[in-house]
Amino acid sequence: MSTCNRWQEWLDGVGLDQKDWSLHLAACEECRAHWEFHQRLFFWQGDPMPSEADFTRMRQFVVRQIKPKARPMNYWMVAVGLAACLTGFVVGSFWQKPDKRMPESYSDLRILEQKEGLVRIGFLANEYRETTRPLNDPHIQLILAQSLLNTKSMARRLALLEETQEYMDPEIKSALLHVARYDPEMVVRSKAMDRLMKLPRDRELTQAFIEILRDDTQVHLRLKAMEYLQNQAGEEPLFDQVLRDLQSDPEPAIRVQAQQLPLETY
Amino acid sequence: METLDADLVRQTVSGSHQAFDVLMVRYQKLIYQVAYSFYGNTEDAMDVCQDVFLQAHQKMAMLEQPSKVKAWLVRMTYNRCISLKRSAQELWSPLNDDEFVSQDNPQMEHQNKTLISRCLAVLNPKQKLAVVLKYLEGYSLKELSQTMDISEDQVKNMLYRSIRKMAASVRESEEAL
Repeated sequence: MSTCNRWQEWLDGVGLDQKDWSLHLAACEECRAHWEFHQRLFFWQGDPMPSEADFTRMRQFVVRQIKPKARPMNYWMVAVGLAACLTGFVVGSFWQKPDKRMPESYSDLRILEQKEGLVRIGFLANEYRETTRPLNDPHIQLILAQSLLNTKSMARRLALLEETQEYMDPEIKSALLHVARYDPEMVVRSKAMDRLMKLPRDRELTQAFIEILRDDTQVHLRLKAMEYLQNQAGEEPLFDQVLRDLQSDPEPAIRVQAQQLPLETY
Repeated sequence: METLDADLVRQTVSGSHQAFDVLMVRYQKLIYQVAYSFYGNTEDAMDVCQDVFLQAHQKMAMLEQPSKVKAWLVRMTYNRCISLKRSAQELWSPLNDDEFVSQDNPQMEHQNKTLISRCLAVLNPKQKLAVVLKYLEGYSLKELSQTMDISEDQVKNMLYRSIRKMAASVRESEEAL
């Protein structure tokens, strides 16, 4: 328990001249300890910084992620960008959660090396681990899928989406579908959508994009989903149902787009 | 002449990646230092830097006072560090007696740095932020008060309590040896 308040007075710059303070320091062990530690802090330089190259890589990564925003936008997108939007609730209807029988959950996968059909990865599963396995090993796919869902850092999730372009099995596709709909960060959802849009269309993909169109809070993601789905207008009853509802959507851009798509009568 | 923060923010909002890159170069080390004080390892601190810059770019148009982008970035870093972990207590492992070294150790200088860095673990997140900004980044009391959105008196009290806690922690550990 502190009994002497002279140190705090000194720190406040109140009253004490240099001589008075030196005399007090010589007599008061408590203030001396604080003073000495304060001096050490002034000479503290922190731990070594990463190299300039590391910082440059970090910045390049950030710029790569934000670049798509530089594309010219249509006038209605600009207008919509200014409007606030709040719609939708998350409906976890068909996402299969990670296998409950798995003893651990995985996250933060990093691809360390890849050659001759083998890949060496590092990941977290309670603690940091590394393993080397064939590229198509189901264990690799499982760790990758779980990492997409469990990694806390947005930057790492984005990096995973980039680094793992060539890995695509059903497990990962399910993870991507989940990320595209429910990831808390808009930029990650958008990136996952981009990857899914390159896959062959199927019922599962269509349903996920319909959910995004209906429920996402970001207008431009909803527009992206609408663009992906637009040639299914008149062919997919669920989409047409959503299109009807969107014609009275509070967002003007969504309304305008929805009204331009053809509706089929069944 | 160095471009003002406010101008860089405006250019970024208008779509200039170059301006945003200048902002990143200007504040990357500050953000790294703050994140490192919470995590104690380079990799996580760099991940936080990336996250913060990505978030900052997304939200920059909403920044009401572009001249205060530095304080805004620090607050965003602090919030990110807190939200990435359930509890600030999990951020660093507890102090380990092996970290404290006797005066005749030839690696004393390096280990003294480690000692102070490790002492940060006894502080709560706000105290940690105040100590890093004050002693590593050389913030004045006024700058600290603006960044942390508290009065200068509160800043002084916070620094006083932080130093007392850290000094006591060092003393206890040295006595235990």
